Parts: sequence; C-alpha cells; structure tokens
Amino acid sequence: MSTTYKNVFTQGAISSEFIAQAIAKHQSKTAIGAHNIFLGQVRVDTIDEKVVAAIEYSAYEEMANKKFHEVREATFEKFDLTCMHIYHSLGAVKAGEICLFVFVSSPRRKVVFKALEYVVEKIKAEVPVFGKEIFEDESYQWKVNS
Amino acid sequence: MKVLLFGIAKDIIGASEFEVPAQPKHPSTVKELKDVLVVLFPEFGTLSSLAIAINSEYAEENALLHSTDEIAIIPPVSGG
Repeated sequence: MSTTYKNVFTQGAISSEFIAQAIAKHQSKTAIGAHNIFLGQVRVDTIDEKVVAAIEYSAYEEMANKKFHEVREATFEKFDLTCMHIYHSLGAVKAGEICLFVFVSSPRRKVVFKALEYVVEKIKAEVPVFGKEIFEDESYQWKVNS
Repeated sequence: MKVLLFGIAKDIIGASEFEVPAQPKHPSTVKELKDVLVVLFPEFGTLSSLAIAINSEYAEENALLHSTDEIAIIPPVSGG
C-alpha cells in the first residue's frame, strides 16, 4: 500500500526543450541503435460548433503512477528495450501543446515501433487520467478516449 | 464507506469524496456499490464506462469491499 512509484506527471505542457534534452541525455547510452517517440498533442476538436481551446488534465495520481509503472514493467517484459521514459501533463495544456511524451529505446529499430504502440495504447486504456476539454467560451466537457 | 471521486464523477456528485449511505445497507461488493451510485445519481448510468478501484487496482464486479480499503470511482479515462 505504501509503495511509492515514480512520478510520471508534470505540471502543464511538455516543452520541446525538455524533449530535446531527453534525446541528448541518451547520447552516452551507446548500445542504443533506435529511439521511437510518441508525442500526444492537444487537438482543436469542434463539438457542436464549440472549439476546444485546451485540455485540463487531472488524475487519480497514486493509482495512475502505479499503472504507469505496471505498463512499463509489462513492456520491458515483452520487448527488448534499453530504456523507456513516460511523462504526462497535469493541469491545463493549450491546443497545439504536448501533453504526453513516451520515449522508448532499443539496440534495434523493429522493436521500438512495436513497443511504442503497445505502451501508448495501454496508457490510453488503463491509466486513470481525466481530460476536460475547455472550449473557447469557457464551457467544458469530459473527454473519453476512443 | 467513503469513496474517492475523479473526473466527471467529481462533477456528478459535486465533491471529491462521497460518504456512501449505510442505509438501507452498506454495499458489500463492487456491483452493489455501482447500483447504489446509479440509484442516487442516475447520471452514472449514462457513462460509457464506470469502474471501481480498490486500493489502486481495477476491481471485478463481485470483488468485496472492506472498510479499510481505499475505494475510488473511475469514470471513462482520457489520458494522452
């Protein structure tokens, strides 16, 4: 019960500088031959003529971090990865900004294509994160992953 | 019995926690808890999914609820 899992969450959008630094940090890991990166970006959806301006993320943080941990473990078990990093936003992320950053690395390319899809789909389906789509007129609706 | 609320569940009840009434009877399983919630707040019945987590794990319908458990209502997720 009291186990603390690594915190995946970061307040607000994930910056391109942060992503660039994450890539740079891997230059010393020379066994890696292939990286694959997924970036979730807040899309401007139009629902009943209302335009999405931002998504405000909240989470059951304790359970979400545990689920992220389990997704990581399951992925490492299934694929030959050298490393994996996951970052998810909390709070408001404006349209066009990045809210999810998943980074997998392996000696070989074929592995990273499959592993990345596996990780992202599992995150979307299992992790208790909740996105509230805030429209330009400040009304909102809760998003549901399809 | 106290349950934690997230996402739209928090909006439906209007709080981040909810004390499930002990009358007529304490729900003893996930299924019973869901039934109580739908009766008290019919909007739960309209969601595309409604999961219950016990101690940070998704629980099956027939799972038993204990007073020491951390119980949470998990409406449809939308991470990423």
